[in-house]
Amino acid sequence: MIVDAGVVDRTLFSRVFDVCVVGAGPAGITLAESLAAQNLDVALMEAGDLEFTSESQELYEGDIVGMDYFDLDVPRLRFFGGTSNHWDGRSRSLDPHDFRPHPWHALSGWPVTAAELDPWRAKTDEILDLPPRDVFPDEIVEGAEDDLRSIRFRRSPPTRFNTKYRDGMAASGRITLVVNANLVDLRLNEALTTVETAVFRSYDPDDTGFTVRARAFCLCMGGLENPRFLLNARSQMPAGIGNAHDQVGRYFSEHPTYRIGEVLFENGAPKSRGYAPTPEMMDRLEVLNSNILLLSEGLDPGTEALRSLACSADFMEELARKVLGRGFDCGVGGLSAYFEVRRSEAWHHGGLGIIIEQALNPDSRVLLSDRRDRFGHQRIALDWRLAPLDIHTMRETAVVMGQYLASEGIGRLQVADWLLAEPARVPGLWDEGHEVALSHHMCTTRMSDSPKEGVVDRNCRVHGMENLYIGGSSVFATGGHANPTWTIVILALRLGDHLGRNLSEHALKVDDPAERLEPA
Amino acid sequence: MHIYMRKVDYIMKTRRGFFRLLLSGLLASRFAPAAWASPVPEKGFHMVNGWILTDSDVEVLSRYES
Repeated sequence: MIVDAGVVDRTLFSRVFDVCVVGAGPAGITLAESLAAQNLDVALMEAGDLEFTSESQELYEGDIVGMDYFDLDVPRLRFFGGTSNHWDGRSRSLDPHDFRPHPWHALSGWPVTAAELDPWRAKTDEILDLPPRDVFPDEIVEGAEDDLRSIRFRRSPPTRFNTKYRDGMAASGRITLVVNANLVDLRLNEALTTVETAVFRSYDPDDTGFTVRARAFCLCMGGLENPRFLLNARSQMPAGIGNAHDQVGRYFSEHPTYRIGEVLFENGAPKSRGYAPTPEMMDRLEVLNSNILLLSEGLDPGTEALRSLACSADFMEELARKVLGRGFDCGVGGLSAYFEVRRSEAWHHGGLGIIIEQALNPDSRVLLSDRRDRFGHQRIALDWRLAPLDIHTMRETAVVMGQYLASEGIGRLQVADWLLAEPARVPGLWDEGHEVALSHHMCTTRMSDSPKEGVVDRNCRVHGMENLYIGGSSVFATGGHANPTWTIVILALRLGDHLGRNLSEHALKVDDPAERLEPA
Repeated sequence: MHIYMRKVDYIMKTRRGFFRLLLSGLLASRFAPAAWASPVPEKGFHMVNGWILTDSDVEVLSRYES
């Protein structure tokens, strides 16, 4: 069923649910559906409404205190379906190499392997409406067999979780979807090891709140909101919940996306194509994973035909001009002057873009701002930072691509000045040609075996807590280069099965908290 | 200036410029302070003014206007 926290009869919450899932985006909805399929009673608490509302979205506003970044209320959506409501559908699993530790990348490696996720691959594809995986296999790149593979992403239609699951939720006897329910606190037992109730408020200014009891709780609020909530949850733990080792919010990772070079093609521009480094190349050069984009940016055929009439310079002549920095001299009066201006757009011109896995950097983090939201929580102060390993990755990858293009006679690459500068002059949002980031928020409550290196364990349970779990990209131990939605969904399915098994086998302790709790 | 003299002047300037660029690129590669500070192309390749060139490219470009 679907109810609105602002108007619902709150005796509905006098029962004890099996699981309280907070946040109804791809992670929360997938988890709730998985639990319901195992005959568990789920309270799925969504802070927004069934459709976009400004009063909900406004709660995403925050401050940028690190590198240039998007306004925080722009890249994510706070209503049922979450950010899948504007997701573009690019899907890809992380590579097995992403899960392994690498000596040159501090803290790298997941507590789980890629193979351990295999049981949920088919279901993940089904949820995201993806074509079979082998439609776009990675391919060896002739002439760079040891270094590069050609890759493509699968595309979801894209799946909008809002429209795909709304009717099912309304009809469900297992899932109670509560919209306009904002999580304001988690109340713990005296030992501070178990969540007993979650406290929510609607948007009504007079609402004093209501509590939801459950055997287990799972935060699926997003890669920025999960750490923000934990850092704000200081009513019983001064540093916030799960933050005994000052790990919450650290290692904020994006997918840094830059134009790292210009290409002069030797025999006309090939089709734009994506590459990735092989595990051998990453190990040899000690670089992070990446998606390398060879971009063709030519003129349309008609304009190009005219250009070639005006200037018939051969490849080496053009290369000489570019390397030596000479003017363009085609010799046909006005036309040559015209194409002097447009020469960078000629058919044999292109660019090299890169989307990299970001190095784990404890100083790249979600902090709390002095500004507070309507519920008294401090807003986000995002301090996004790159590390030397990120720059090293882009430089070395550019050189490998340059060598490949030249040795295969495809073209020549000029590595971007900003990347070769020492220190690198990393472009900002307003520098033309650079996307900078892809609105992927990862690793802020990362998975780790040690509570000193992350926030959740291999089962996504918060270190030190008996029944508090986290879903979504904040639990990624490393970010890889692939878009995160596919991995978010498969981890939610895995967590669903883990919780289902656990809640069936063990009666989690709920020692009548309603008797002891103060009114919210 | 006569067109021919302009051409010679142009060649001389650019040839000097090219060799200076090549030399600076090779020196930067050889004496890079750390592997993470400056990428070094493999044997058979050169970086000149940011361009990744082959031995053959360098040879052709060095006598291109001569």
